[in-house]
Amino acid sequence: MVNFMISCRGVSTRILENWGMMLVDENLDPNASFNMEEGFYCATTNFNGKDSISGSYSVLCQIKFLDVLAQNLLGNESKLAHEQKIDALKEMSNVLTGNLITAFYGDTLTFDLMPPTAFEMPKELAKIVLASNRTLTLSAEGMLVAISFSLDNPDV
Amino acid sequence: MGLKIMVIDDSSIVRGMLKKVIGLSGLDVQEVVEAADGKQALEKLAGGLVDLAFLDINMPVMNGMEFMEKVRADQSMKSLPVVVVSTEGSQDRINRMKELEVRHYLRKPVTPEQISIIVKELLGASHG
Repeated sequence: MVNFMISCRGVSTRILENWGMMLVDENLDPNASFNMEEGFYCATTNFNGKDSISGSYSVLCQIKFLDVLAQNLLGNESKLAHEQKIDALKEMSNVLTGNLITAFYGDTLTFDLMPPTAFEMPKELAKIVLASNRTLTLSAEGMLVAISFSLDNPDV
Repeated sequence: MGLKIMVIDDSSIVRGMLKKVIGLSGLDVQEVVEAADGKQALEKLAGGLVDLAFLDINMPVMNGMEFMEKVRADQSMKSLPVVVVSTEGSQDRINRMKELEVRHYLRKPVTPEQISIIVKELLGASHG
């Protein structure tokens, strides 16, 4: 589980930096926490692979992160619709999931990615997800983002 | 004369990202043509060919495999160099794409350096 989380952190950092164009802070401030007064946005990608390997990866963030991510992905378009911002988060989830699966199971695993879904996550549910040992939190450009996973593989 | 490159992906986010990455690659690019699916791409190609296409696999209306089958069956388009850019994990689909003479398979996210190397390999170093 520890190695899994270290790998997950490495892959997530690479995708946030290469795809999201956000510099990930090497050390997370132990006092950093999400603003529980603000809403949460969550994008999830489910996958199915051979040998009953299936599960999902989710990206959980708040509005400031969403704004910066969308701006980075879509360029300097000044007025982005909320729907475009959500699409940016969904795409991040999709790319992240594809790369995490490859990192953990290798290039030879055949898997299908479902189209990502996104929703505004209730704060109470966000609290539970953030407290889970299957969630890791990163700080990118000084903003927190959480990566959460659910895998059916009993080895993990 | 600069290159004409087509980007075929149903996500406007990915198309925007690829345009940005192509722009940062240092290649001499005249135009990047966008298409949201295989059908739209074929319609645009019928109006004028491009030097190279970056193609997603999973798309609505006409997916990447169907697009490649149509392209390879069409005399005017059959030699179009195509590079797949996807998060696709199905080895069967990737193998099928290779049979359809897809020149490279890139997993998202792609970098300007990857784009530059591949384009120069496929179209010659003079485009740098």
